[in-house]
Order: sequence, then C-alpha cells, then structure tokens
Amino acid sequence: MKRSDPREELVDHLPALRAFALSLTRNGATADDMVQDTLVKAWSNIDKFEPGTNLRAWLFTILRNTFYTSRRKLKREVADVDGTYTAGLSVKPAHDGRLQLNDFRRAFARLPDEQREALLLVGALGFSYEEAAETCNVAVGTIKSRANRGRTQLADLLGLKDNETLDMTDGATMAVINARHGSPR
Amino acid sequence: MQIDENLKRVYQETLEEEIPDRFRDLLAQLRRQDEQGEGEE
Repeated sequence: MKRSDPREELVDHLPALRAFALSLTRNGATADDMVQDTLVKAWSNIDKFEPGTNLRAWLFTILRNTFYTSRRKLKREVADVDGTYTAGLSVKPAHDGRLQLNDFRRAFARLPDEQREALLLVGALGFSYEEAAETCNVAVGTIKSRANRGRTQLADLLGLKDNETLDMTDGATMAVINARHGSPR
Repeated sequence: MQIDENLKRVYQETLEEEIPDRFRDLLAQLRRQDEQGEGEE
C-alpha cells in the first residue's frame, strides 16, 4: 500500500520552493532557512498529506504559512525594514525604453505580498489559477484578481502601460535629469 | 507577455541551480532519524 512515499518526492520540489521563498523574503539566506523549516515540517507531517492530492500545492502552503507566521511575529520590525527597503528603490525605464531585468526585479519586490506571490506562482512557476488558489487557500477569482492587479502595478512601476506612457515617463525622467544637471545643450 | 517572461528570467537562476548540499543532507538526516525511531516495517 505504501507504494510511493511522497517524502521521496520532496527533493523534486526544492528548486520551485526556493524560488517561492526567495520571492516572499527577498533574501537568499532567509529564503533557504524557510525552505529548511518547510522540509522538516513536511517530513514530520507527511501523514497529513493525502496521497494522490497535489504535493506541490501542499508544500507551498506549508512554506507560505511559515513565512506569514514568522512575519507576524516580527511585524513591526519587518514593516520598518520594508519601508526602508522600498524607499531606497527607484524604478524607471532604461533610457532606450527596454525593460532591464534589475529594474524589473526591484519593481517586483515592491509589490504587496499577496500580488507578488500570486504572480510568482502563476507567472513564473506555471501554477494554474486553481492550484495557486489551493496553495494560498483563497478563491480562484481572488488569485486572478491579485495576479492582474500585480501585473497592472508592475506595468505602472515600469512605465510599460503602453508606448505612449513609456515615452512620456522617459521624457519626464530626462527632463528632471536635464533640469538638475543643466541642459546638455 | 513581457511581465511573465521577465518573472521567469528573474527566477530561472534559482530554478536551475543545483540543490544546495544542506538540503540533501537534511533529507538524509530526516530519513536516518525515521529509520532509527520506528524500526523496520
């Protein structure tokens, strides 16, 4: 009856778990600590996993709960850290209008947690909306709207809304730079 | 979509990286503990 032990499959999900943890914590060391906690919890609670159901969603749920629990404990501190963190970031389109990966990374880090996780699951890891909803324990419609809001906000942050906006933002940026340094003729 | 493509690029590195030893060691350790704790089945 114990044909396949789901514990043997944990290793297959490690890369995606690490990516998810990284997107939540935005810090590699913290992320891997969280993945470690998740592994231990999953291993010792494997009897609570229903064979035949979605192991990936189950693991991601554990990771997510670990993250939100630890963050609640550090609530005030982390809020400050986040404030400092985001205040130091400025995002603008590259001069040639092409989206640079670092700009993208910064903008993504500024999204609210809920939107970031929805986008990460659906956009980067290829979760279906249903699977992401299961993972986050919310309705499918909620995940869809979080992902959409995240996309809209990212586009706004990066000035990608459409070409017009991009040009305008870029023009405005250049105007500020020129004003500050004196007109470069 | 450009946003999804960039999302994938940002996390591709992590996804393709070798699994760090600490995780393989941890899994091995958990397995050993179980075997010692429960006895054979």
